[in-house]
Amino acid sequence: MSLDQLNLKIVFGGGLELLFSNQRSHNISIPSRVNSKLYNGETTTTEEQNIKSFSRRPGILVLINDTDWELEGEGDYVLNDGDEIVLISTLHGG
Amino acid sequence: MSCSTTDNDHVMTRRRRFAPKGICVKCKTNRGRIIIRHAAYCKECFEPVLMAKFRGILDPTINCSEQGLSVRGSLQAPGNLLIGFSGGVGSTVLVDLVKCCYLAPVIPGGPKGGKKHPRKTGRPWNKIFICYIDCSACYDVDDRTDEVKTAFENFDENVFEFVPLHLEACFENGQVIVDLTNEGLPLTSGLASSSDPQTSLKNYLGSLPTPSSRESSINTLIRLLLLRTARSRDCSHVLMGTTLTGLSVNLITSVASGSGFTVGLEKGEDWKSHDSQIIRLVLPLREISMKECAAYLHWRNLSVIPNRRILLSPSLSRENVKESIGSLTKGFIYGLERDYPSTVNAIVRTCNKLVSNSTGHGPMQGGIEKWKEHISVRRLEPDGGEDVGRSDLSYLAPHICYACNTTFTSLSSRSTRKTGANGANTQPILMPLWVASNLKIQQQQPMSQSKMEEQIRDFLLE
Repeated sequence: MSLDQLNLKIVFGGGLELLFSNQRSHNISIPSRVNSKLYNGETTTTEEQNIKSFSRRPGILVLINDTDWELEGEGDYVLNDGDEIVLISTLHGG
Repeated sequence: MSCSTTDNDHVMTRRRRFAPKGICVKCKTNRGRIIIRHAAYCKECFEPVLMAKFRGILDPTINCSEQGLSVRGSLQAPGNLLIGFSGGVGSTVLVDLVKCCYLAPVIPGGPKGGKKHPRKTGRPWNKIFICYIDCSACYDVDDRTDEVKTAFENFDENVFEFVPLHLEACFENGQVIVDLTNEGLPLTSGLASSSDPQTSLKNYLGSLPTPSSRESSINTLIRLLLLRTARSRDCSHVLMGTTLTGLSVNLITSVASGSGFTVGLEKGEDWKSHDSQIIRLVLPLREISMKECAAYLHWRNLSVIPNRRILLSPSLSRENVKESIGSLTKGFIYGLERDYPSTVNAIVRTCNKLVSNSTGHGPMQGGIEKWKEHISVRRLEPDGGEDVGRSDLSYLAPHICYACNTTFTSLSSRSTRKTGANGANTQPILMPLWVASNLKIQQQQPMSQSKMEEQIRDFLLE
């Protein structure tokens, strides 16, 4: 395994899977270094802006390794290889 | 020098909400897995806490009595149960909680449970219906009934009975036709443009003045259709999956839309039908936040039925669309729940304390037209001088509540009302089918003494 890559398991729930080929679980590899411009909100492309607006939208519960990401320090949490991230939408409420 | 502020002062920093050490506040041994209003709970404690909140609201309402009830003894409802199911997070959690708390199956050789365990006390309701109301006609999207029916197969079919409905059923055999361009809402003898229920529903929604009035009308139609379906199935209880977050949105929206007088009905009501049957509408998730529901959903491995319309809503992507009060409030409250979750709870608790000074029954408030005349600067129609005190059955306005009146007649620069060639919608609009029966009942109500005296005045001997 390359140290430059992180293997993550992303699980979508609450209907979010509809946006990702109706598949709830995805195993992905991402670069271990995040684009600092994106992290600091200095977005340039439309795609980056979309990611930024999605990530900051309320109504989505985030669990990191089955634990509320608020307990993990939210944005301060440093992803590790093999982490499981669960995103559950509550937009379709009642 | 005046109190000048720098740009940084305008930005309110978000409060950090980490529980001390992240230890579960209940068992005080395990590591917390979720934060609920500044308190951490472990996975093992979270579920019982959530079930206790659920039962704490629903148990006291099951044995229908006038003053609430005692939960001692067995729980036995006088009728069946109907659950409003939208396929969303709240209603999916609701169905699962009903199943876990009240319908525990008997497992041969398994644990027996205590005295009050559902296995010992029996089922509170004989039959449980799960009612799905399809609203595709309102938004011009695909009918999701088949999708929901397929998902329903995951539920226990021996326990639940599926009742699929369409919102246009509200307009089947409707009789009352109203001219919405006149503030008095006169009943017309003309024919509605279509006898097809789906077209009638579309015309009805299209004739409403604002996106907010359209949204509140859809919610009202859903609620009334659920209650009437419950009556036809001999149900004593109707449950809806409105969560604490959703209720908070509904309360703020209803106050902003003119329903402040009846804001208490948002959290549930005892609906009395014409045959004096009482149906209790309960929101058992009203103290459970959306975040708790989402966590329960994940940890119980439940699935919602994805709703493309809500997930891909243009208003969520902040495109230039006319947003309703409801959708703006939803955005505000969801943000509030993330940053200041206790405030969402405070909204509901504050609204629970509000009591109307009504002497009558239901959401009707007397003197609506007089009130509107005093608080607004408006142009009266040529026959508008007769508005006040118009109580005969040729006008609808005196027989509806302030919120419904505002829904039909709100004047707005953001109006979306479909207009005709001369700038006004001249089509008479068919009202939902229960409007005719409600008007007939009002006609049969005993005449007041003063009105009686007025009618026989000419025949009285001095």
